[in-house]
Amino acid sequence: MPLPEDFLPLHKDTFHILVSLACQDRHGYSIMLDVADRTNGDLKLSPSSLYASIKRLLTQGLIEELSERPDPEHDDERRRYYRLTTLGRNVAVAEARRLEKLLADARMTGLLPSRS
Amino acid sequence: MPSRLFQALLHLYPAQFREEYGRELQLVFTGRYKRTSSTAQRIALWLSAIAGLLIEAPKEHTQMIRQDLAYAVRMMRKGPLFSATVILTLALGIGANSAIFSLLNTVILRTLPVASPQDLYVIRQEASRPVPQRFTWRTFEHLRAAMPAGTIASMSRVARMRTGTAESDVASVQLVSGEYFPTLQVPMAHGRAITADDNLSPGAAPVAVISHSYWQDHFAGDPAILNRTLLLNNVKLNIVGIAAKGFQGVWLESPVQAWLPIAMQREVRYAQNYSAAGPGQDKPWMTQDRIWWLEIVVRAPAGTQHAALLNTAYQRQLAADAESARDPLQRRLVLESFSHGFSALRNTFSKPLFALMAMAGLVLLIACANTANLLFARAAARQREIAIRLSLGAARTRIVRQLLTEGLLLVTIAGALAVWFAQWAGGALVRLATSTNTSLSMTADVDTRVLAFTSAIALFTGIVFGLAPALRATRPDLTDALKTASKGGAAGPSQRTARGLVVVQVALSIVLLAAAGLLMQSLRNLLHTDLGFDRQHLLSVWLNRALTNYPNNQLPEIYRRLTERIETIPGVRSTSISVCGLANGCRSLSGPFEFEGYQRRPGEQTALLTNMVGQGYFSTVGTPLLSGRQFNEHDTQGSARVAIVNQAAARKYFANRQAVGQRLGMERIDTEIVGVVQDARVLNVKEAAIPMIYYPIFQLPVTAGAIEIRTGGDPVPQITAVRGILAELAPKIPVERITTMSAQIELNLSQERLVLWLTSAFGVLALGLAAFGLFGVLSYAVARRTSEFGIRMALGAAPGRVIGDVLREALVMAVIGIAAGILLAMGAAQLASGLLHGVDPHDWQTMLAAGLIVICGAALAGLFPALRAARVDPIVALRND
Repeated sequence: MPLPEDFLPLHKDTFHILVSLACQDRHGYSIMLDVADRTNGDLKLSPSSLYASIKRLLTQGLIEELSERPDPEHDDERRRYYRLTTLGRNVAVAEARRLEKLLADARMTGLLPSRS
Repeated sequence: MPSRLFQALLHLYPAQFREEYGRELQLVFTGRYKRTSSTAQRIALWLSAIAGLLIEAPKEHTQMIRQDLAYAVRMMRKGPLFSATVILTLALGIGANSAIFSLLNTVILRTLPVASPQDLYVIRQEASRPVPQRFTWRTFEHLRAAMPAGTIASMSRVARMRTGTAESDVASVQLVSGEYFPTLQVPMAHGRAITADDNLSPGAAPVAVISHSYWQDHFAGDPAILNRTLLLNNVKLNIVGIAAKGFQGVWLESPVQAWLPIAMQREVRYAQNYSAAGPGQDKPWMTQDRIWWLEIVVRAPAGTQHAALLNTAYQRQLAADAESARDPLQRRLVLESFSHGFSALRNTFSKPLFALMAMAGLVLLIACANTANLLFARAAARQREIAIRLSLGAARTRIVRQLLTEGLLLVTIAGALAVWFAQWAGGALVRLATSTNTSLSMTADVDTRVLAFTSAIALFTGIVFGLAPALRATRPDLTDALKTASKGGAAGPSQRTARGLVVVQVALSIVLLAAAGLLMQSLRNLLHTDLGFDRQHLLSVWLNRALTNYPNNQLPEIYRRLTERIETIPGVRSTSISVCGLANGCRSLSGPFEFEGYQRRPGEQTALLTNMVGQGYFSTVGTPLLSGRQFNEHDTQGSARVAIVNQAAARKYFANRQAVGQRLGMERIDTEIVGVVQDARVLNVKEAAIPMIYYPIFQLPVTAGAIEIRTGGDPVPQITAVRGILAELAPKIPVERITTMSAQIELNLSQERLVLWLTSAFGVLALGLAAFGLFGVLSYAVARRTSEFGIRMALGAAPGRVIGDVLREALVMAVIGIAAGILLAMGAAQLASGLLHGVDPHDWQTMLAAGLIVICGAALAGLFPALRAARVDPIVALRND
């Protein structure tokens, strides 16, 4: 079983995808919309790079494809849904911690103003 | 519409990825597209989508190829014997092709290593009857004046000149005009080129430019080379330049080591490849209007009017020349491509080379058939694995792609081995093909063209012969495969194909074996042709005529003393001298002749091959005198002029009359024929005799080029004594070479020998591959029928019957292949009949012999599987079932 730290640091696209799957299972298009929303449109994943990342995450076991649809009412049955695995969640958390520590370091050295 | 377009673009992805994610990608794209509200946004979306595709699709491909390769390597390791067999088989097949191709590339395809070689032309002359194809210096000057600077140059042939006193101290030298290097656009690595000023007057500029490799090899790359002295034929020349690295002149088989100004012709005693009319050959040729000796090269890029310019200038010169005005021949200059330079080898060796290329192609076909059979067999063995993967939903294209990758990996390794093989074999072949040029040889590097050729055939082989088994193995009738495969041996749908391929292999190997047989007879015929002289026990001493340094009036006495002394050596029977040696490339034509009682037709060429020979020449070389007498001691300068002609001349010019006693001559009829000798192949074993005339050497007198020595037994032991006598009595006559006539004739046939050797090697290789193929197919068949044999043995069948059955199977395939092969071989031999000397292309004995060899090979190949079949233990076989 690989350790979450083995995957760090994550590519920013990958991190965003994991974050977007943290609160709910989503299909590809939904991931893309969510990422665009959260970054105010700064990060627009192209369909190709999105699915290249998804494929890689599936192979690495950080996400899995759902066999049943999560939300039958709003389900678009043509779509494939993805969910974060436990490993995926741990990796995302580890990456968030790493970023948090970086941020703390930046504040401590005075690069960023300390939180009041 | 945008959705459809995006879907089309998705084909950039590997099929597997497309099948997995294509629809999703499309949905995402359409979703985003619907949210766009302006053209700018749409353009931005398209750009980002396309950029994403262009980045990600190659990544997916690479990843897949990496996976396939890793899998292929694993499979290769799992079956090392199988892999090694396939690789070796293909490496031999591809290597044979690459090696022959590198020879073909060197001799035929490679262009001169100069800028834009396709713009170079050599000037030839057309006229109403044959005229010399070389030019005088004055004609060159005239043409040069009409052409733009740096577009026309003249040069002599390549001559071998002495750089010291030993026989091996020679260099290849060419005399060139000052425009030679600029016209060819060859820069200097150091110093300066030969210039027009060096050629202003005869002998004025004793300078030389040497080749880069000569500088490296003979002067150890001395950085202070300029102004050092180079000795050529006793003339001291000042080295003024080094030509660019890699440039060795324009004669393929005679790499030039030094270039001198044309004006140095007389000083270095250049006297070869010329036509002359009248006296003056001992004066500087530059000043002579009746010595044609220069080749002229022009650089005429497409669109220039150089041909017209040249012709206008030439016609003007002809009109001014009294001689040509008297004898108008409608002369016209034409430009002949010179992009490949000159090569005698190219002229004589092209046909055999293409034949060899075709034969190498057959070897490759056989190797491919073998590989295909092996791959078929392996695909059949893996049918169960493949069937399971297919039933689990793997895409067929994915599996085909993977099998193809495995095939290509094997072929790539084989191709790399083949290139390595071609590298040393190609060089060796070139050396063998040019062995007549003793110390010089050209190089056959594996260049990009050879690499491209090898890659192309390897790729072709890999795809064609990897694809068929892959497609067959992944055919959709899965259940069959799953059912039968469970028994451990797949049903052999490929058995018929495999047998068909073996028959093809047998047929092709018959073609190669028959070719080798026919060529062997052809060479034997050449070796035993009646040459018109006796090659056994004959020693030839070749003398350097240019450097023979005695006054002409002393020569008869010197030669007389030499021959007398040589005849005192024990074992020597007789000795004579001549201007031209036998079969050594010395060729001298003179004419036009007038014959008493013979009316020349207008325009008829009455040139005769000419040699000047000493007393007892004909009895020494063993050419029978048919009528009249030999030359004797009375044929001297003061006596009446006499000559001896050969049969061909007697027949042609004195058809129904006795030639002896008739008279002939060049300017006037002043020479009496005193004898007729048998026709002899004096130039080359392969060239039939042409009309020829012999003069007594002392009547003229001229310097001799050869001493012929007839011995009682093996002439080799006499060489040392002969050398000693020459050094003692004639120290100022440098010896070029001493060789036995039989060795010289072997050398004449080195090309034929090479072709025969290669064809035989191909034949043996083909036979081996075909036998191996047969062995494989039979072994497979025996393995599949193990239980059948077991039952038969259990029921009391004699092992002999079982062996007979398997052998019969082998022989049936062999006989069908042989029959087809003989038909093919006859057709092929008919096409290549030009390469055969005195052999019937349909010679049934050769065909029969080839057939017998293949039958033996087939029987041998069938024996092992047959024995295995006969040794099947009934109990084990039945238990397995």
